[in-house]
Amino acid sequence: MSKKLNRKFIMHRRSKTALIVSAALIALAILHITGLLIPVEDAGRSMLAPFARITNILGTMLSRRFEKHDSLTQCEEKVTDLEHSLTGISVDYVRLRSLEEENAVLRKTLGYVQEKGYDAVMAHIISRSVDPLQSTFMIDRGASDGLEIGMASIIEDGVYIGKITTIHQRTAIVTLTSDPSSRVAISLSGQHRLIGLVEGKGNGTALATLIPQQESLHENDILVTSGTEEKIPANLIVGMVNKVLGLPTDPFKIATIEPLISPNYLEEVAILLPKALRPNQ
Amino acid sequence: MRISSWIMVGAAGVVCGLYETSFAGSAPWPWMFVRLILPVAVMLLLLNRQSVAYVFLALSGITVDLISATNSDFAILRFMLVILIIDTLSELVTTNRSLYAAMILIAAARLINYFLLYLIYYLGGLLSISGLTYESFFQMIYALAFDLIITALLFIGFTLFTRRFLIPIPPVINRYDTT
Repeated sequence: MSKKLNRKFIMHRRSKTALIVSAALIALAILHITGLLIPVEDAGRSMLAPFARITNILGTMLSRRFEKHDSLTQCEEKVTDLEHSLTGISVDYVRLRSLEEENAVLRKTLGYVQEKGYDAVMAHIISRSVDPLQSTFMIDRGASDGLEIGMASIIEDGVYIGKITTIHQRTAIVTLTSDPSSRVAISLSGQHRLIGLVEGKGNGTALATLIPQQESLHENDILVTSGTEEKIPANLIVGMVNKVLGLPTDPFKIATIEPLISPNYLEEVAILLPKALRPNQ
Repeated sequence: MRISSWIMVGAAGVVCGLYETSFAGSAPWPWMFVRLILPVAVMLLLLNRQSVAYVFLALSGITVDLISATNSDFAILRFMLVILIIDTLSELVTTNRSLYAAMILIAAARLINYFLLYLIYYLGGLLSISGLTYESFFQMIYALAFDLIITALLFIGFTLFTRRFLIPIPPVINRYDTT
C-alpha cells in the first residue's frame, strides 16, 4: 500500500516538474523567436565573455603544451621543403622590394594619397567549436563595433582565416576556411582575376576547387582572395597549394591547400572593417 | 538549501558551461570529449538533489547556448529533457543508488542527448534553419567513455569522503550468522 502511495507521489512530483520545465522552455522559446530576449542574451554574452576568454586562453595554453611534435625525419623533410620555398620567396621578395620602391617614388611624384579603405578591429577569441569537423569560433566584438556578416577575419597583417557568419550585438561567430560550409573566391598571387573557390573540408583542411584546366597551378603557389566578394578585399593570403589533384581530362582542377598559420593556437584576430562602416562615423 | 548554496550551484553550472564551450574547443585531445555537465547532473540526481540538478542544468544550458561558437542547438532544451527522462528513470527503473545504476543513468543520458541533438538537427533542416550540427556517432562514443570514467570517479569519491552511498550495516561480528 505504502509502495503504491510512494509511486503515486513520485508520479505527481514528476508531472508537476515536467509541467513547470515545459512551461519555462516554451516561454523561453517564444521570447527567443520573437526577439524579446535579444537584449538579455547580449547582456549575458557580455557578462560571460571575459570568463570565456580566460577559459579559452587556458585551453589554448594546454593545447600548445601538448602540441604534437614531428619526428626527426619529418622535420628534415620540412626543412628541405622550406629551404626550397625560401629560395623562391627570396627572389620574389627582392623583385617586389624594388617594385615597391619604384611604386612609392611614382606615387610621390604623382601626389597620390594612399588609401587602403579598410580598418581593422582587433577581437579576442572567446570560444571555439568542440566538433573537430567544424571550424568556427566566437569573438568578443559584434554589431555594436560596426561588424557585419561577411567581413573578413585576418591575422598577421594579411593572412585570411575566415569570415563572419553570425552576428550578435556584442559577439560574432567567425567561420574558418577549413569549415565544410566555408567558400571563398580565390585568385593566384599577383594575378587579379578569379580562378576558383576554396572549400573547407573539416579537420583543418581545405580544397581549391572549380579551377579551369587552362589555369596553371603548381605546388607552393600562393592563393589569395580575389576581391570579388563585397566585404573581403583582394590579396589576403588564403593558403599555399600543397598538391594539385585530378586528371587532365577532368573539367576542373582541384588542389589541397595548406594554411600558412594554424588557427588552433590563436587568441586574437583582426576583422577588416571598411572605413565607411566605422561606428564613430 | 541556503542562498549561498544556490549561488554555488549557479556558479558551478556556469563554470561547467564555460568548460564545455570555451575550454574544450581550444584544448587538445581528449579534452574535447571530457564533458562535465551530464555526469555532474546525474550525480546530483543520485544524491536525491533533483531541484539542484534542474537548476544546474538550466544554467549550464543557458551558458552553452550563449557562448557556443556554433549556432544555437538549444542546449537548454536538450539538457532539461534529458534530466526529466533520467529523473524518471532513476526513480522508477534504476531505483538503487549503486555504481551500476550511475553507469546506466549516465549512458542513458548521453544517448538521449545524442538522439535529441540529431532530432534538433533534423527538424532544423526541415525548417530551413542553417548552421545546426550534430556530432558523429564515434564522437558520442568517446564522450560516453569519458562520462563513465567521470561518473565512476565522482561516485567513488562521494562514497569514500561522504559515505553517502554506503549501505548502513551495523558493525557486529558474525553478522551473517543465523544461529
